[in-house]
Amino acid sequence: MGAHTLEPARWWRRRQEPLVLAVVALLVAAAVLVPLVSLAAGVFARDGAAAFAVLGSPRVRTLFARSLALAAAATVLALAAGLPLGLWLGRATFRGRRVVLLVHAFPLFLPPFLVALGWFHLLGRTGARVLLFGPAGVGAVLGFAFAPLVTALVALAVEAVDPALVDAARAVARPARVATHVLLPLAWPAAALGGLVVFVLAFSELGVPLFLGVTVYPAEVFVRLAAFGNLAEATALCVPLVAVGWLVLVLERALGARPLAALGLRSGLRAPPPPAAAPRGRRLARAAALSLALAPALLPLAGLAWRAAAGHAFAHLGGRLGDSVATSLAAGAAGATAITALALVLGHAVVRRRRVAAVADALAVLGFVVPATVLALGLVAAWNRPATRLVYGSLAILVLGFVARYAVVGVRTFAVAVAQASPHLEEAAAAHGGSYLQRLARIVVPLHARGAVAAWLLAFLFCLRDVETAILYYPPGRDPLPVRIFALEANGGDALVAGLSLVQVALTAAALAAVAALLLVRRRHPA
Amino acid sequence: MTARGRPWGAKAATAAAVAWALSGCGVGSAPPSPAPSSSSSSSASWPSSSASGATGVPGAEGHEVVVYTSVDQVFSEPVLQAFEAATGVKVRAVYDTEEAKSTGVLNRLLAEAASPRADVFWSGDPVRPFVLVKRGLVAPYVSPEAAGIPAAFKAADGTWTGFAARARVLLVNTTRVAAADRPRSVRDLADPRWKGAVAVANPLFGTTTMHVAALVAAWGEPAAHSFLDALKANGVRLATSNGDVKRLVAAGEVAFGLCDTDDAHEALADGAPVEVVYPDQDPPAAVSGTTAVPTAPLGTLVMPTSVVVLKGGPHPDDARRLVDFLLSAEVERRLADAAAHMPLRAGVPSPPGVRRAGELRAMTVDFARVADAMEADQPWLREWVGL
Amino acid sequence: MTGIPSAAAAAAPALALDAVALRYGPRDVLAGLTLSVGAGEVLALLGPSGSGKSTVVRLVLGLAAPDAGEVRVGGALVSSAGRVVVPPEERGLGVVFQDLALWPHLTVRGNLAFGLSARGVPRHDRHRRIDAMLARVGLSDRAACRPGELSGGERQRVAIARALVLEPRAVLLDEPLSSLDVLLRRELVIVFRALLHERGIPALYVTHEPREAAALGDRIAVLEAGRVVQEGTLDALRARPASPFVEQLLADLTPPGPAPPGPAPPGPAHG
Repeated sequence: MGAHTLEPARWWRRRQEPLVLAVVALLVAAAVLVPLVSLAAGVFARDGAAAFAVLGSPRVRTLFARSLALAAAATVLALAAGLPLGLWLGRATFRGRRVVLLVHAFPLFLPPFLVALGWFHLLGRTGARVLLFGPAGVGAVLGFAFAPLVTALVALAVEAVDPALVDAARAVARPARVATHVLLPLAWPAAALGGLVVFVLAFSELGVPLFLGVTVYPAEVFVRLAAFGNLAEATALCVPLVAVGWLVLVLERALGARPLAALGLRSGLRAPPPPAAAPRGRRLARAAALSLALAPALLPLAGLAWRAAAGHAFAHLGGRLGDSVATSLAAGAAGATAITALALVLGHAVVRRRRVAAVADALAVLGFVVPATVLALGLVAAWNRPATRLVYGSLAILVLGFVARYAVVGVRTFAVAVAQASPHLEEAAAAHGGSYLQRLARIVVPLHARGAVAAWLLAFLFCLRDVETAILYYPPGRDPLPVRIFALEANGGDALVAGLSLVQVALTAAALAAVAALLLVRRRHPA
Repeated sequence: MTARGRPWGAKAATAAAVAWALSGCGVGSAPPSPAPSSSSSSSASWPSSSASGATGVPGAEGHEVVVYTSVDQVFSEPVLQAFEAATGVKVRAVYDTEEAKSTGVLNRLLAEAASPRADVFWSGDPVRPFVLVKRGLVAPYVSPEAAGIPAAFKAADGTWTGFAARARVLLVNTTRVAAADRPRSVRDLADPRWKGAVAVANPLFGTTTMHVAALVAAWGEPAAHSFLDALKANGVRLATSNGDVKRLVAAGEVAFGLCDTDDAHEALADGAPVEVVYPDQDPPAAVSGTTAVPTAPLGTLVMPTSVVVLKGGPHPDDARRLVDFLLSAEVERRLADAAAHMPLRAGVPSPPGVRRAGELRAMTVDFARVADAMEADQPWLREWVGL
Repeated sequence: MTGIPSAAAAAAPALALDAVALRYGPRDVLAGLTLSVGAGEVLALLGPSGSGKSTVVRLVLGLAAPDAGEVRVGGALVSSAGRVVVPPEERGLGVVFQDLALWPHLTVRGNLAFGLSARGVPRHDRHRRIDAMLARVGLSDRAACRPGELSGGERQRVAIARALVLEPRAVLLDEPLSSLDVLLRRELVIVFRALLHERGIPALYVTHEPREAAALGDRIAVLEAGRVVQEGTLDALRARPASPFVEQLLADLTPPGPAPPGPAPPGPAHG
């Protein structure tokens, strides 16, 4: 049979998949594990386990409890707003409902402290002091900022419900009852997943509580690092954070829910229902729902715009942007491109249940749930050496950080796209002689070109809104725009900061418009 | 700047700085200055390395300098841009954020000590550079521009040099505090009549750390600690930053609080009902203090910004050029105008509402001792704060 | 490019499964299944849903490995217990899935060209073969269309053309007609039958439809609960059904003679 003496060409064809997968998995491991291991090694070499005593301090416990409570409050609010909105948007048939969903989701793609800043300017100093500063304000800002996650996941789940099921229920029950007794139970896993992600994001949020004067647990980690340079204690403090992240992952798996980054993609892949005229009596209800969907997105932007315009900020913006826009765009684009390249291989392999891919995927998830500060310090520990000067002193370190932190976004997005299609499409290619790389290049990737573009754009959006990772190691003179806004926020003058925030908003809007174009345009190949 | 694109032969950075200061380029935060001509502001906006080659400054092509600064970005960046415009040397900067004020870049400098990335540390206070000095991370440089700076605010051997300063002041809400009741000393923060009505920023951060350390150095540790305990007993509001103190006072949530001159200047510019008190100017008899605290005349704490050159930085020559520029009279004037800093030089006018260092009874401070106290006292302070 | 030496193929059956077993969880999907497809023969694998038909296709294609037993293509061992010895792309087979799995982003020509170029057929040769095949199935004017622009019957013909243009060692057809209406199915049964016989390409035709099995298969193998319960020509099966199950399955078929579904299977029957 000659299986043991293969000629080189065939040997290569047979090993394409394991070799390519191994290379990609190694790259992900290098991006995520090298910093974490460098950090842990450095910490334990110096301070040992003594640092863990900090976990017992009453203040730490109080802060942990407060952060849990704040995150829970934000989650409840996000569910309260997102669940009904999702049920409504998932079933609504009016023209432009996708636009509504995108606008509604907009704050998700901004650094949350920008949203807080918008509310601050909208409410004015006095109003902000009463309504915004303090734990209630933090919960409200984060709840509304993250609610679109719940909305989108629920809307997508409801869209996926077989219309016949709803029609059958409608034959015997009124719409409200159908919503509560049929749609809600079907959408529940999606809502629960949305709630989990909101909880994680709210729990690890740093900028908004700092801005609104509430000390929270992640701020404590940041302070131990930034103010005291106490790496050991900060690392010890991260253990509960990682534990919370892990718990969420376990819950995610238990829910059997779709991957985290599935937002928006699914809906784009199926044809929208035909628009229909709403009965007159429901116009009022629709107006109310529309304002609930759009107000939390548009009002903070209005606040920023008003403040920037009132302070004549636009004339001065140029001198204050420095290279930050170029840095943001270049690092974001390079990061998204690297992430997409990894995602094409990994996302596909995850769906095909390759074991190596499962490990690499878990590493990518680790990079996402581990607190940004830890990852950032690990990057400094790993890369700030004379031998790696070229990497550490250039945009490459930003790109590396983005890959470590946001690879999961691209991988899961492309995985969702691949999972949508029949596996037969690729199996037929294999049976008809296509090697792994031929299948990938000529079938899988072109077939899921929209998924690949969506992965790129989502990864780009995440890189674009990053503050917490890059702030600790951006190369001199290469601060991305959100970092610059964050640094200027305290003393930079309200109007100037609002103006810079609007630039960030514009960049984000442009990227989202590209997503919208991708999702709204009719499928080129109706299957 | 306006100079960009013209054949500027002069290497003298200071000369260019005059042009820059007069042109009104660069954006101050408060109050918003009338918009500069759009051409000058846009030329200032893109000090890219490619443009630097076109400035016509000889010998500057491809030059760059890396500076880490804890001076507020809003003030420091225009100064650095002016240096770029004047010399053609590209400045790559790392700025501190308010939350990690003065400590973020310092820790980054320490973390990178094995492989230094920075040439210059421009510190918002005079104390934190000593952490670097003590670890031998500083290369002494006596700048010719430092000649006009009083000896109290610089090291003779050039390890550090101070310039444009800030002072620690009491910001008083005039609607809550009658003219006759105005506080006169930092000790009034512990006066029971203001129980629950005063604010200081978290002493683990920023200039407040230095202020506490200066008190420890001046009074001795026991007296300073008992003052802080009295503060705590008095229900002092612990604000997240000096800016936060300013907000609390301006809004009338507290009667008065301790902050920096630039915060006070901002509150005044905003039209808040506040008055600035330079504390401890009076002879000891007038002070109403607690018995536990010594009543010697103390003076107001004056904190120069300071600049050090780092040992082993990648661009030592351009580092010295930048230091010369920063120490020029025009930069001090600019910081006085834009950031309400207190000039240390005799010839530089002080901004309205800000007193000159020479007109004050300033606290006598040995910054090296303060730096030691700051490090030694941190565990006690952390406990005091409850960290 | 295939991993199977052609010398070995000459005498051996085109496809052979020997005592193949596969468990999925607690359930035996296949329990010692043995069958073979001879050179130039069409074997219809007939069984109800859940009897393991599609699993047989996956095993033969190399998309899964059996827990026990062997799979051979042209006499060469391609899978053994727990191991895919020769990967799918080297087996030299053609396949038509139930959902057809036409690549929606490629034109009809592109669909046919993929396998040819993957197997290293030179460009001019490729186009000649594609043109001939498209002409044979009556789709010459549809070469530039994408699958989404074709009718159901046209897509079916693209799928079979895509498998046959490769001149594969054998072709596997997994319920290819089950999504069509009765009239179209009848028409395509005739087309498929003609295509397979004129080329002499061995085929495993998997179906739950006794009529299709009868119309297309030179022989029929009846699958029940993961096992071939009877194998032979339609006449033989009908004459001596091995079990009540086989008898019931074939009961609906009109007796041989002028059979409406298609010409009665001629029998190059062999054992």
